[in-house]
Amino acid sequence: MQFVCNRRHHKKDKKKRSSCLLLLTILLTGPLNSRLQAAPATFITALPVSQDQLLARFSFNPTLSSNPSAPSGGTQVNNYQFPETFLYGLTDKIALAVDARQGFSSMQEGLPQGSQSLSAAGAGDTLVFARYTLLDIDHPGNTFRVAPLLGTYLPTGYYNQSNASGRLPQALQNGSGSVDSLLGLTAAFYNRRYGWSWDATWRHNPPAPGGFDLGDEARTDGEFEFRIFPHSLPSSYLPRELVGVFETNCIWNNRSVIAGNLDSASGGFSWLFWSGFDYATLHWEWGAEVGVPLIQNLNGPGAINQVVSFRLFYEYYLAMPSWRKKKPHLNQPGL
Amino acid sequence: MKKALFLLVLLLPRVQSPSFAAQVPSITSTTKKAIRATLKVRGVFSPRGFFNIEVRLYHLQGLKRYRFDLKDSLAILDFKPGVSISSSSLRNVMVMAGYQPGPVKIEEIPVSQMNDRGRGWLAPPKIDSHWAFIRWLELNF
Repeated sequence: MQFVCNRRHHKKDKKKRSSCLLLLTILLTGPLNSRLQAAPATFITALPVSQDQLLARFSFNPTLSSNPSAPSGGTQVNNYQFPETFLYGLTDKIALAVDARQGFSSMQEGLPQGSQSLSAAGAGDTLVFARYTLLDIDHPGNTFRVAPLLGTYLPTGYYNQSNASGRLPQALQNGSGSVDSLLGLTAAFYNRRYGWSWDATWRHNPPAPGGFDLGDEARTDGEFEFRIFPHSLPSSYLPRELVGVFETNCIWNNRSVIAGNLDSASGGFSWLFWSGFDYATLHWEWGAEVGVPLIQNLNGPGAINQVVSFRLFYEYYLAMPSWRKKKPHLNQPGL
Repeated sequence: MKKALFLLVLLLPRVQSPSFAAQVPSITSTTKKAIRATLKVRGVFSPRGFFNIEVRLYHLQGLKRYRFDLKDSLAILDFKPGVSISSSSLRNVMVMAGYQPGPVKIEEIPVSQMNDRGRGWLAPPKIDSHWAFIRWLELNF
């Protein structure tokens, strides 16, 4: 009975904490004046890039998760990811992307014989995808794009790291161990007042060597942004813009399979909400966002729920040499 | 008579007044006058949108300075006196940058007006190295 009460208290505390963080993020950005445009931070599929342009983005993504109601006295997981994203405009329709990442995870686990610390570090899986702009409507006042994408996750991450007592928990692993396929669709709309972008992707994870099969993932992400500063655009110079951003991720993970057995403590559904700022100039942009879960319905009694996530990024734009032949009559610029 | 009229129509654009010259697709400035080109760009609503146009502007011969107007999605380019500019080359800059070109206006301006260094005017960097990699660095950093 005592245990049940504690569990209820923990749930209430967690709800309170999540509500406070959500309120804080809304208060930080909500009442400020609106207008336009930067780029999503929590998903890279809809990042805008032009022909012969290379976008280099460096991110830092710490995530704090816990399971205070774990039977053995609570589990705390801190995960730090450092993704590097490169997006290149091969043509005006085709963009190529590479997303590599390094990560460090630590877990503090309460056991009957005392607390136990586990940690793991190394590279994560590398995402490579190609995006084709199917629909591209540019008006003087707005632009709308729809682009399907096809890609693969290369198994550069560790998925089977273990210690003396066996395989480390999945929360500390940083890869699937297999060549995974990714299929998706993105869309984006921007005008001078605001912009939004959206994607929906499906990641199929085939079995990896060693009898491990990470569950498939389906997700949809959305982003809404509005310019905070300057309030009215000057016509005599190009201003630096402070942009308010709201993002959301709905992620569903199928259960994993370990050594032929379905892992009951894996998979589930999460709905995350993010809010933050971007600061954009002609050549670079940085952004900071904080994210909290709105719904987490993860499988298993030992499910480790996300408490709060942060995302910081810096991106720089580079002009790349054009590989196309120049049209002599058009004085085409190029390197 | 018909032939004479036809020849007259053909020659008309070449003998038009300077004020009307702003509407023609190509223009060569005199040694005393500079050229100002104003490009309307469709689909640019943020500073990042102008980046890809900017790096392509560097390769336009005789470009002295430029500025961007985000409010009206305009790129305003000033060229040195004696330079020949065509609207097709300017439109191509926008197409290569991935945007749909809007109307292009080319006009002659006094050189004194070009020397006025107001806020927002930018100058292209010097990209003159012998080595391609150094030129790439000069372009980007």
